[in-house]
Amino acid sequence: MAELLIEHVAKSYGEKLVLEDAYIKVPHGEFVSLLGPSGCGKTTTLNIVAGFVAPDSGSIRLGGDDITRRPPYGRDTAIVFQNYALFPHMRVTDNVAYGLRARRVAKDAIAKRVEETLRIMGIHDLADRFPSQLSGGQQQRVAVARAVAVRPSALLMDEPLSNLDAKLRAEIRIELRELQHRLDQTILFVTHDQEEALSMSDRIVLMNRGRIEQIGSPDELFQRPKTVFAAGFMGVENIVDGAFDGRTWASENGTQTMPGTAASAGAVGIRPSELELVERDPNFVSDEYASVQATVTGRTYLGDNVRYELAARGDSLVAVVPYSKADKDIGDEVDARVLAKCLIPLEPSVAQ
Amino acid sequence: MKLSGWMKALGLLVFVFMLGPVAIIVWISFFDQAYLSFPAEGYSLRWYAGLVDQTELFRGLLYSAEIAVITTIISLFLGVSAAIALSRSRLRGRTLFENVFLLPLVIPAIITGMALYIYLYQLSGIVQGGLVPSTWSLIAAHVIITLPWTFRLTYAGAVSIGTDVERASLDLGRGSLATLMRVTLPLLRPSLIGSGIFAFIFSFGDLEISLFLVSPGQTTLPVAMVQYAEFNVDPTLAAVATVQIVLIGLLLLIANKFIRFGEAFSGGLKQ
Repeated sequence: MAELLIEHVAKSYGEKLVLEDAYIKVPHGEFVSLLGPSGCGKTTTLNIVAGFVAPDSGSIRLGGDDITRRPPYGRDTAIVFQNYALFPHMRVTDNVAYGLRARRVAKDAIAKRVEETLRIMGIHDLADRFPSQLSGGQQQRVAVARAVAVRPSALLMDEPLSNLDAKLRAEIRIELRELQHRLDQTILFVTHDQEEALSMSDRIVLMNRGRIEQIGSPDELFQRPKTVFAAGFMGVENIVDGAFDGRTWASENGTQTMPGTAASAGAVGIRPSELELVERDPNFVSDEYASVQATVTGRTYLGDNVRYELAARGDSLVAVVPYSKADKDIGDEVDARVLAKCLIPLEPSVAQ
Repeated sequence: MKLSGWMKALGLLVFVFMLGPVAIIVWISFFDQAYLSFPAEGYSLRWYAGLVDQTELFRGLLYSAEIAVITTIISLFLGVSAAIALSRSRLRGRTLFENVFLLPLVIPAIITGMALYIYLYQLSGIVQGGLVPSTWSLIAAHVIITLPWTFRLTYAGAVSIGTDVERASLDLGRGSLATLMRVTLPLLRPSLIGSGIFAFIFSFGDLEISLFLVSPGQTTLPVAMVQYAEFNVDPTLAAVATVQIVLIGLLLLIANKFIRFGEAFSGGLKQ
């Protein structure tokens, strides 16, 4: 069993703190994504696990062994690089056999494993090609094949899909997931693309400015982001500051009754798609809905949907409404309503 | 880019200006008369046939070739090591080091030669047998003037292959030395061949530095040619030069297959 454990790892370059006390556990056979904007520390974390960057403190454990001080070639990890980094002077077979030869595996065992790996990746007919003779998608598959051929305890992937077009990306996501299950492979995956992380991961580690904002399943992260940053990154565009005690939401712009939601001290998040725009009704009272008076200030046609910008007592809100229900226009006075259970109580971001 | 008429004419003029002397030397080497004069009084291959008897020139040729081969090997070793190291380091003042390697290009070769002579002569008191003149001091000097080429051409190549392939190799279980031998050097092969050929050509053709450092009775070809020209004015030297032009031309053609010279100094490499 190869569990990857990143224990209280910290790293800074001079004054600049790039990773602060990261604790990440990747259980055997799990697909864990490090998600975050550029500069959040996700690639540094990957490089520390691979052995290319030495952490200032903390340790890396793989399958129970402390590998913190081992060189990259002394660790049972394999990386799939963003630009694939295939060896251009070697044929596909030799690329895939490279790690096995380094491990001094017997010749016929190497041939068998290479053959098998190429078959799994669906590229056995490309065995004699050089990387320059392959398309981007094919190169990507060779890069994955080269890494999994050694059956690493942990497979590390550094934005491996970012150079592919959208259609191919969707295809390879599914393939990678299947491959992972088939090989029972432990994977640490780095990406800045939330959709990618949501669709592939067992668990997501959301990072920002060297800190871990939240760890959870894709569903937890998407439905219940905990912090203002997490919510923003997960597409919750409306984040309204103010204390929130479960019933009343007190912001600078007045008090608004919010029925039946958990308490928060920081802010409230509302997904644009959860906001409904209805005719102004000054007498509206409901236990189910929170409602705020707003003026339409912008309207953008998006095809299936229409995106509205609203001014609500000094807060600006965004609503995305299906085209069939988008009957409001700029200047209209409306009520913006949201189901109380869809209000997301948020804490301040971990990274300040 | 569209060139206007007068720019084309200017280009042609530069071309003629550069190739004219070469063409004339080749032409003269086929003249029959034993003194340099125009026009030809007849044509023959006698100066080429006569080269066989020019023992001084022939020995010079062998000596030059020997020096050039050893120089190329040492210069490649030093230049390539430095290029790989500097292109992969985060050393403070890296640019300074890069430029130091180019310095020999800036200083006139004759000054370098004289300076080296004085320097080595002063040191000779300490070393038994003396440092100048000697074959090793000559080689040391040639290494200095060829380093800008072996260093800079390889540096461009080392930058362009990037470090990710090396990281991939380390990550897959190869140590640093195995990675160098299996990934870095094989990928640098075009730069190695190209810069090696350049080092050879510059060492082989050097006159200024060698003038100060050759021993009496054991001279390089260019020095032997100068000595020959002091007492003779026949087209023998034109014949020698023609042979050299052909040889070096061939080497340059080979080098050009591996390196785009236009880009070598801005970082590019033929892939």
